[in-house]
Amino acid sequence: MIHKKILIVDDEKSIVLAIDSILSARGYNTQKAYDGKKGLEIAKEFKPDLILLDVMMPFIDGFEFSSLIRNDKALEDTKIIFITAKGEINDKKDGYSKGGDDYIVKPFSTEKLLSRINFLLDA
Amino acid sequence: MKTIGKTKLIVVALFFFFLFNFPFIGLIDTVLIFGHIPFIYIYFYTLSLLLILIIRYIINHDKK
Amino acid sequence: MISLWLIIPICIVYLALLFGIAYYGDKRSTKKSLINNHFVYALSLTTYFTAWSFYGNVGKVATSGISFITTYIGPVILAPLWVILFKKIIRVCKREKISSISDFIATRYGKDKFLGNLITIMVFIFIIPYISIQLKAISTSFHILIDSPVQNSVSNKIPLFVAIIMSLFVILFGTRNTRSEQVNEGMVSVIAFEAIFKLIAFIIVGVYVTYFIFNGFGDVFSKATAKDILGPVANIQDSLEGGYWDWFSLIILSFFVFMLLPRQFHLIALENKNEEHVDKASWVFLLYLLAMTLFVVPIAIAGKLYFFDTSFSADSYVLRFPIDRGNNLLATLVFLGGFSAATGMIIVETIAISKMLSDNIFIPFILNHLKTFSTSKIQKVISFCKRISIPIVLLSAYTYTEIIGEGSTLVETGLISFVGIAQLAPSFFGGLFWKKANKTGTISGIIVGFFIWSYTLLFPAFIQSGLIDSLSILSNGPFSISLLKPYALLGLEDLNPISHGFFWSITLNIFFYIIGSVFTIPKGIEIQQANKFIDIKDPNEYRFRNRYQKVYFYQLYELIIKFIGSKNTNMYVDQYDKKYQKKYRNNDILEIHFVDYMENILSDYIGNISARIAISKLLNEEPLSRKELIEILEETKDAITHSKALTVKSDELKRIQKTLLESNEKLKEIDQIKDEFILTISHELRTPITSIRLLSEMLYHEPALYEDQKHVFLKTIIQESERLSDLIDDTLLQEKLELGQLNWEFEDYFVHEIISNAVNAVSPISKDTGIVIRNHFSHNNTLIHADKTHLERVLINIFINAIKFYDPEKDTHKIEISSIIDSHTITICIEDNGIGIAKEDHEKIFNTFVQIQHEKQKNKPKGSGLGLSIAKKIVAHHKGILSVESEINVYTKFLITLPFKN
Repeated sequence: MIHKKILIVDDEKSIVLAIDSILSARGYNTQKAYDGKKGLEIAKEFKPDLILLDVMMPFIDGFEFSSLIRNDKALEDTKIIFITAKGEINDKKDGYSKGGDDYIVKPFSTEKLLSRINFLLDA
Repeated sequence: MKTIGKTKLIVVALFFFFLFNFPFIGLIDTVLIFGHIPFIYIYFYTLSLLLILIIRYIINHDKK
Repeated sequence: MISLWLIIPICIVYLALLFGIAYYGDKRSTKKSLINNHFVYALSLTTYFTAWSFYGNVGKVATSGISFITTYIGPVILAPLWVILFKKIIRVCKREKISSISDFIATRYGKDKFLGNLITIMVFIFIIPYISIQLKAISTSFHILIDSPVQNSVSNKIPLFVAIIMSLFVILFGTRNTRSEQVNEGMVSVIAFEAIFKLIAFIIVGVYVTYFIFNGFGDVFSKATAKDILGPVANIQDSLEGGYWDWFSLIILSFFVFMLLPRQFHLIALENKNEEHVDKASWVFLLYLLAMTLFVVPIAIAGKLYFFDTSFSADSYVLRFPIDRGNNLLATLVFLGGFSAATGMIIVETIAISKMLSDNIFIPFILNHLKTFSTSKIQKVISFCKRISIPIVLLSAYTYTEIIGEGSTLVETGLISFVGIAQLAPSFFGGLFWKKANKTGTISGIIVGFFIWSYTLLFPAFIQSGLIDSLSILSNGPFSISLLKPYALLGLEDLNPISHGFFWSITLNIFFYIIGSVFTIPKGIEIQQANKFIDIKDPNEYRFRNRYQKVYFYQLYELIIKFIGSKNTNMYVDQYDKKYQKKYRNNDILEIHFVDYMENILSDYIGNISARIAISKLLNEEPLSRKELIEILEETKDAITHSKALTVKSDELKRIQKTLLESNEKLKEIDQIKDEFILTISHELRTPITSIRLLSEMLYHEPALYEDQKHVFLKTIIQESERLSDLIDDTLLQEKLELGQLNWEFEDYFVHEIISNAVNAVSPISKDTGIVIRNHFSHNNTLIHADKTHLERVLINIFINAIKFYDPEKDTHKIEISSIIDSHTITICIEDNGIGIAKEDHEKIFNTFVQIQHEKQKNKPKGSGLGLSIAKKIVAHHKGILSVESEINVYTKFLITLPFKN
């Protein structure tokens, strides 16, 4: 099995730690970034299959981040899941229009997180 | 586009103001006629043409 | 000599051509503008070259030598400053909707009506003689052309005919636009055409005289040398009574006046299509100036040689040469060149002066005396005032020609007008750069200047033309007081009358202007206007955007359609697509270029400032300030009524509107704060819950974790739980404080006890992080009335912040506690050497849910964002003040000032 590459971008250190541990334990190849700028740099190098993206971040927020990814030809196939604390995305269509493939609302369970990721990466 | 250097232009204007006034004009008066042509005429034209070149240079240079 | 019946049809054809060009120019203005380039802008400003330059320069050289050139050296020196001065003035005029030079000065000094009227009347007095000499020049040249010294019944009325036709022209092409920022394109096209025509005519006649009648420059000058004519012409000292002092003051005079002549101001500031034209026009104009003056001296000297045995006026040499040689075609060309120079000046000067008259005097007068106020009637009155003031200006000039016009030469009258106009220079230039300059200074300076001008220049001119019969005053002074001689005030002899008058009027004008401004206190509106004029920004600076801000297409789209309708909006969006190959759709994030493009379009509809504010709001760039609100209102007001005069009546409405808008703004703000509070709370709660949940699940489901990994997980869970409970505590406390439900237990305590309790509470944490707390608190036994728990909480909060925000780049980390005491209060100072707080954030940190971003502080644990807000409220409840002093990367010092018990 080829290890799928996942990038986690969130300014909350604890969330990154948790998600990273879960995904590494499942055999995913992960990278972490604590802000949008760094995240973009890593994304260009790392070419992840999927990005888990916090919406509320300083400097570059999740929506701007995703639009920048969408404009990059090299990252055409990269999927994006927004992590949101509700209020920022109203439904799936809205999230989609903002450049995401899916969104997940805090707080969420490990199971929910994994099923969303599996769904996108298997499809 | 950068804005055009104000200080430079003001310095140029002051300098030419100086060139067009005493004592320079007094010096011109001592020459009066230069090869049949009033020297002040030559002086005025040379300075004005020089000024045109300077203004053009400053504006073009600062715009880039 | 040319037959009268040939020249009249030629004139009619030429005038018809001008009307045709104007008509075509106006028609083109909606499609591809004729005048939208820097050449036309430069050419339009050559109305500075009037019939005075065309005929009079030669006359001046022939009679008194080279000094004519001072009139052109001023503008030459001014040329490098165009880019600075003109652009600033153009911006101010666009933004403030200025309609004339008098409006400019009056608006600058507090929109003062009296000042506007004063300047209008003064300018009218200065300029009418100046227009009249143009009429006179046309009539004189006409008579020379048809060689009829006898007052022919038709040709005698030439000035009147010209005045009438020019009135008609100005009414048709000079008043079309009521809004000040629009350009009279047809009129400007005509001015540019006449500029080219007069230049070509003058150069042709110059070449004709120099190379065909004589054998080139060398020939003219060597013959002149032989006859001893050249020497006096070439010498500055000899050509001016006052020598170099005259030379100097005449240069200053033309330097000032170039921008201040009403026609020049009008063309520079109000008929400018695009301020970028100024850059190139500044040197194009200089080239024109050089071309226009090149043949002045040769023609003058040639005239002196050629016509030495005649009594022709030197002013007419330009026209005499072709007539004397029987070259009728060239004579007609020269006549039309002079005609162009005169009419160009007449047209623009009339527009400028009539606009001043109608806006400052006629319209306010009639509106004040009007009983009823139906809109249609007011509009009729306004357009009638605008039209009638045009023939009033021209007929006044005509009357002046008839009564006084004889006797004075072109140059003399022109220079007297110049000195008059120069009286506006201190208030004009001072107003652009000196904030303290105020209305009192301006009015006193201008009145004094005007008075001196009348006494030293106008009054003697009347005496010399025989209108006042008291020649003795000129030679002996009034009542034989020689110190008051109009040409030699206070014994200042040896200057020519023009520089003498200029010296005294401008010196005293400046003196009173400065004294008046320094020693009187301006009103609020004067200060406001001063700031507006002096701090006007480069429009390019408005374009600066925060690059991290994003705007979606639909947001901008919804905003724009509110102002200009969906049809127009779609049209512009399509145009943008065509031009830049970029089509935006609903949720596309916009590039700055497109935002700027739309802002530009919007500003055509609602004005620059409103557009900028509307778009800035969308981008969250900066909040709407009170000042800007007022500005929007003023622009809206302007757009609705289309006329300043009418808005006087809408003051009441304006005030109500303002109050409504302000309270609406305030409500919105409160609402927004509440929404943000809820959103932030939920966000802040959800984040720690998420990590706690995920990490616990991990620990539960994955027994095969390493010990150290487990340790990290558990530590994070504990931290996040603490954060959660802190957040809940703080939120509840905050709510209680806000609702006034907190229980307070006030008792008397010693300050030092409270402090040492707090220090003890945080000392384990501070020891962990290696931060030293030094307690220098020295005012033991000071009693305060306080709630111990809450006050300790405040101190602990400040300590914790200091510990959290230590500067990793420094070797030692410390917190120092000291105290200051005065008669009623004790101040506890808590200073750390941490990362500091930027000045602009000093106020913000006390707001709810604000956590300042600091680059050295990226991955630190977050707090609730409520601590300092609560601390401030607690201190306030103790009748004390919590404040902060800080310098970024150096220190932070919190000061708690509390009243103590005696």
